[in-house]
Amino acid sequence: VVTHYELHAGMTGFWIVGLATTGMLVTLISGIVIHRRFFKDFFTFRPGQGQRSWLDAHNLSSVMTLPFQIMIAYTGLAMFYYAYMPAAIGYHFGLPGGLAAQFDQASPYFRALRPAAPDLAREEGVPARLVELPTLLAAAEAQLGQVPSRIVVERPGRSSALVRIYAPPAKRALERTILTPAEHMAAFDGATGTGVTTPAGEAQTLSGAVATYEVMSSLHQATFGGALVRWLYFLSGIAGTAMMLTGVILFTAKRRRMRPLEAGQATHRAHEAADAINLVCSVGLVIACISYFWANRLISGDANSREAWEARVFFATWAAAIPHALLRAKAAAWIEQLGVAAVLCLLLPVLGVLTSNQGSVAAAMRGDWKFAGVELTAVAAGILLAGAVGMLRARQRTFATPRQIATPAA
Amino acid sequence: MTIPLGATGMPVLLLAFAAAVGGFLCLAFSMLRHYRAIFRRPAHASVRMLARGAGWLMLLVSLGLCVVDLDWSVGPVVWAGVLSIAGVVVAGLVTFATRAQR
Repeated sequence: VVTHYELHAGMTGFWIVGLATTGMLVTLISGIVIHRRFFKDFFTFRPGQGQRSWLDAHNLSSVMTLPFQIMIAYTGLAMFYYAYMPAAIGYHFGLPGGLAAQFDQASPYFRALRPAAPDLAREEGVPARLVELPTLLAAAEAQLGQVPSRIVVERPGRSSALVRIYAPPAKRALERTILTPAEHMAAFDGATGTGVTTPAGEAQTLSGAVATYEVMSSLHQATFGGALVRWLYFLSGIAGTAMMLTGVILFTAKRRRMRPLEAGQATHRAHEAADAINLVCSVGLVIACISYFWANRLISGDANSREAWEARVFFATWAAAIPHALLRAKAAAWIEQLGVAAVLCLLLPVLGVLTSNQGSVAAAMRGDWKFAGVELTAVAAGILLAGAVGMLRARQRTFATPRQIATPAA
Repeated sequence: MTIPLGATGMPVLLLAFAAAVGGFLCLAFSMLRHYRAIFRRPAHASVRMLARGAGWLMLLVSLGLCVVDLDWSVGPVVWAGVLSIAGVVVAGLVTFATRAQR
């Protein structure tokens, strides 16, 4: 089960994600078209001016990261071209066993697309004593000029044995290309120890179509460029969610004002429900995500099906945010959910120290930034969330009296 | 302690970021509304032309630095990200300058 592109719902979820992504792409493009003051507003942010500030934030977060948003939506769709646009493949190769079978990478289509696999069914040979591996390793290291990282032995113990020794592509090459560079390889005849030129059918060159596909999926998954690119993706992604959140908040606020009677008697309830959905989909989701990290630290490492339980905690906390958002008054619900998210984020390092044998500080001192980075980021998020709580509370105090007068229906 | 950033190390990419911020700042100066808000007087046409030219030039320099550091494959992608962050930073600076004038 995959959530990212299947929503835990198999093919149904897969199609929902496809439709939603297409919608995102269409919205991004049409957004540029209808945003007439695109360049005039380019660096404009006017804080403290109510709805105008929200619109500025909405424009700023989307316009600045527009290349990223279009790229991520487009590559997300392009990655699954074979499932979203299967007609041509079906015509030429057939679609065995319905749509789900397309995910089987071994379908005739993918076999035709990929470079041929090495011919494993070669002559068996006779039992033979092989050259010692250390000898071959030394020869490979001399040939490749690098310390090898991987050994593949075909038909071990036979006179036809083939030993292939791989070294990783240079780190610099990895950081400087989107297309993952091929490993360096040295091949040896296992029985004699003499070097063999690359066996037939093992050419590493990709066809133009496959290379394009690899770049698309690499762009989408940020498998290139190292930590810098991941951070840029993270920040751009945050800006994207900020765009969506400011967008829906503006939309519901405007709708409430412009069409106060659009659903007759039920209008007020409908608008409140929309507010609740906004809250659950933004802050509720943050609570669910940080709960996932709590579950990860609280559930014992050797517990059975730990991953499944982490996912269950994620969905359970997210579901719990729904009744809370519906039952509490709007302002209180936002403050409370933001508060819960802030506390969970800020206490994550404390929990880390209590439940594992290493804290973030110790990890950072050791130079293990991957470990410390998660908790530092959680703390930074917690500080931002706490700041949001503070702002909402200050505003609540300021507007407390007028609001009570303004809503006599309540 | 080393943080893995870029291929030839931080400095080149930091320069690229600085160039992007400078370029966007110049472009903001070339815009009537921002210029007036920051300097409290309308911009001279020649100043605006100059700022616009310098702005685009610095953005190109920023791209050049990214490509020098990361090559044509990754460089432009990182440049797009650098532009995004620089844009938000400049918007913050312009807002700050505008408010400081009031």
